Amino acid sequence: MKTCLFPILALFLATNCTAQPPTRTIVQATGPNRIEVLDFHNEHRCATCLEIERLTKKILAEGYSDAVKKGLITFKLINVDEKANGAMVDKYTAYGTTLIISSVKNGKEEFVDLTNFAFMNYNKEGKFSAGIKEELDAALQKVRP
Amino acid sequence: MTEWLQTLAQSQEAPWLAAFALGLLTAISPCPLATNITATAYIAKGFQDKRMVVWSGVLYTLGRAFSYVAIAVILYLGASKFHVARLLQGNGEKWLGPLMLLIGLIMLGVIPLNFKGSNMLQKFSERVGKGWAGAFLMGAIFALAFCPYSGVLYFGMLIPMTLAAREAFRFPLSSRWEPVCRYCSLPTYWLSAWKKWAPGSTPSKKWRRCSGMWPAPCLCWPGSTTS
Repeated sequence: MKTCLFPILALFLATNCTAQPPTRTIVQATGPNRIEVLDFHNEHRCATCLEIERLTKKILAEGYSDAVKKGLITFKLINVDEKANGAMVDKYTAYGTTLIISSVKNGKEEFVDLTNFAFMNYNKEGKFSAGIKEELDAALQKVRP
Repeated sequence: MTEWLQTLAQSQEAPWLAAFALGLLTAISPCPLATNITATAYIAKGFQDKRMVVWSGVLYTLGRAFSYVAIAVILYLGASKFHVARLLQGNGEKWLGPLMLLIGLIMLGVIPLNFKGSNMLQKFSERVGKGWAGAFLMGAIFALAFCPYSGVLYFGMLIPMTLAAREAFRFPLSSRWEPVCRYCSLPTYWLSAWKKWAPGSTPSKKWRRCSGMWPAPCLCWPGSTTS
């Protein structure tokens, strides 16, 4: 029994560690100040990918409808298998399903890759919403004058 | 249980445990699970002995681990994660079907590949068609078909963690043992139960085939083929 305790304790301790932060990248951009929510996907979409899209759209509709109507926030669904999207795929290194929140202000774009977060929390709606809202609020803070 | 594994998979201070959790999450997610069940049920029907069935599951798992480690080595040596991931995730499932058909046609002799003075191909078919080498090869090939979920877990989480830890290549190994072995052994345990229930009789060929077909409802369940 005692021999079992250490690995079990180690497992529980490990679960208390902090999660990996999403990766952030800054690049040059053109166009007006805006926020883009980019949902990349393959030709054949999985149930998890569809759920991520549904939850993201729900968050935008329920919490950010004004910003969406004004065109400050846009949601884009991008098929990585279409050649026309090649430049976008390369820019965001979206090899498959990828969720990006990009904010553009004064010619500078900062985008955050939330793919890992989305896949780890798609089945916990509360946590998923809280994480996406936190990123969207931070992006709005940057973009608004 | 899944939520706990997801939390464990994101832990940075215990990469070994995180890798193990990622392996389990991949193994129990619908699309790799469906593949594993089908493959192991197919492999297992060639064995009667329970221990052999479990070992064939271990070999199938080792085949998968071999491919994962091979990809990790390629990435470690400097290949672009983006390009490798895109190549496999975008094309793996497209190539796998025709590849399996081609191998099947060669093994059945429909496409003759005769090498002068050699029966190498026949020996290869006998070894690979039924047995442990076949289980290993099937695992190695099936591992190359990434679905979106397994792609994110492998390329998005496991590989960055592996490269960051610099201990490399050991993490892709720590996965999948227990579920694969369990599914693999079920048909044989079903036959044992039959023998206890009706001593002296053996199930007909039709029933034995059914024992290998049990995963079919799982595959037919809506949304189970992708995760």
